[in-house]
Amino acid sequence: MRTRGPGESALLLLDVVGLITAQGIEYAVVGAMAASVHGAVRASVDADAVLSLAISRLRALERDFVTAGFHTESRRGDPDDPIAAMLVVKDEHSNRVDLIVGLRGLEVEAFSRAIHVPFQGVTLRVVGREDFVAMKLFAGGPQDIVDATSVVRLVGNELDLELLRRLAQRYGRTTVKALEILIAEIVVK
Amino acid sequence: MKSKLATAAKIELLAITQRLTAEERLNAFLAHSRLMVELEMAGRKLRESANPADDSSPLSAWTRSLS
Repeated sequence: MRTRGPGESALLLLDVVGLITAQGIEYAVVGAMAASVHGAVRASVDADAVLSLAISRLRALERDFVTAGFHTESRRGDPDDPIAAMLVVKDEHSNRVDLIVGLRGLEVEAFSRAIHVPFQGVTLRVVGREDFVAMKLFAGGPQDIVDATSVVRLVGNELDLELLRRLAQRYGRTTVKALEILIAEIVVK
Repeated sequence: MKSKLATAAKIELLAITQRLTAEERLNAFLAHSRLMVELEMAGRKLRESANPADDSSPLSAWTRSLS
């Protein structure tokens, strides 16, 4: 494992990515790491990624992580939860990676839109900026809104607004409304 | 609170980070996260040493010096 101490969830993610890509599972880095790529650099105690994986394969994946020496914890969302399941991968330094499976509204094409970013000798797949903004507005927490706003402030005029609006629609009316407010406030027309 | 000054400062800061490559941003994320955990641990240590039962703590000594 690459981690040597706490605060290194980004390095733990590299180990996690090694295992999931070896199995041919598509992923996209989201959360604070994606926020750092697309918007403002900020710290976080964890790293997050969405997986393109059937829930039925999650248990087998968890077993593989355990066999490889990781600590894991799997959680299932309630029927009304927008996240169907989550596999938490941890190390002995309290670093953690949250692997999200079955995010409601997420387009499967989000995985092919992910951008390639080199990091510590590995090429990571990071969720594209339009997908990132739409997901953050859907999540809707205070930090999520700050993250989405930062990206729109930075590259608002370069965003594919047609794509962004379509993605927001997939997440529901509240997300569409939040996006329109953000666009009206920030994007120079 | 809505402050034009604070917003301008935030935009300026964002523009500075835009000069970094995506790879540099991820390295900054890693460095930032390491430092944040270090700071959190230092704060926890300080809170533990501030335990009034522990009279030998630096904080207790400092408080005594004030009186």
